[in-house]
Amino acid sequence: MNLRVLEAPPTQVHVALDGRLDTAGVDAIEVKFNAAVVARRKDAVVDLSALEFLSSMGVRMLLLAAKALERAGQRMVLVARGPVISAALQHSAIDELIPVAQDLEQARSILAAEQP
Amino acid sequence: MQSEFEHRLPVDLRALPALAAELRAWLAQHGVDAQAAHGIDFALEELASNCIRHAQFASVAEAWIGVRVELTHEAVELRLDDGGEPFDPTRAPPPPRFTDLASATVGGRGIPMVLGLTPDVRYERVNDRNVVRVRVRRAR
Repeated sequence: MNLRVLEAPPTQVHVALDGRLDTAGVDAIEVKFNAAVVARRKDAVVDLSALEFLSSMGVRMLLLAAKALERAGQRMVLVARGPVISAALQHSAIDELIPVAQDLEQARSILAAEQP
Repeated sequence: MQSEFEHRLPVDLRALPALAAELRAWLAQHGVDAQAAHGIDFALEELASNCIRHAQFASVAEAWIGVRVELTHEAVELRLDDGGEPFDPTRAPPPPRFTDLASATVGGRGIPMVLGLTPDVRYERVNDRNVVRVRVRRAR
């Protein structure tokens, strides 16, 4: 399980996850993920395009981070393309709470459109 | 052709990744398509980890999960059995619907995800053991 912090505008943080976000993957990455996404107190784009597997524990990690961001007045947008991850997002219903974009450009547009 | 994968998983989350990796390799070796393999992999992760986290076992000797995968030309079937208290995942109450982030509860999504991604899930209680079967069709 890997996390990369990508270049982003000053008001945003972009991270990309790859590998398996299962129970073991969450154990391995959650502290690093929260440090990269939640602690910075910026709008976050979380790119799941290279993720191979998303379990309910992975959904839980994303949801907890999105809730923490919202409490701080920030937002999260996910990027997901493949059928495996898109189906997991849909069946967990997390896509009803966190916007899901097809690519980085669309994610940025969602954040820009929701700008208060 | 018919083939089987059979293991006994200790009730210990640390044992799950190695077994799951072994199963994925076995499915690939037997030519199971990626979508069917993912369904079985996902069901194993969610149902086994749910059992490890929540099941109550009468004794340490009972604290294991039987994992068997059977392969036919048409389908892959995962069979999990455990000696915990009766628990039928197909009748588990669904989690509350999400309305907004602030009030969203974070747990209870695993079983709905399994039932959504692999809808052919059957449960029976056999000889004081929970038996769950998940069947996924193979690509033709």
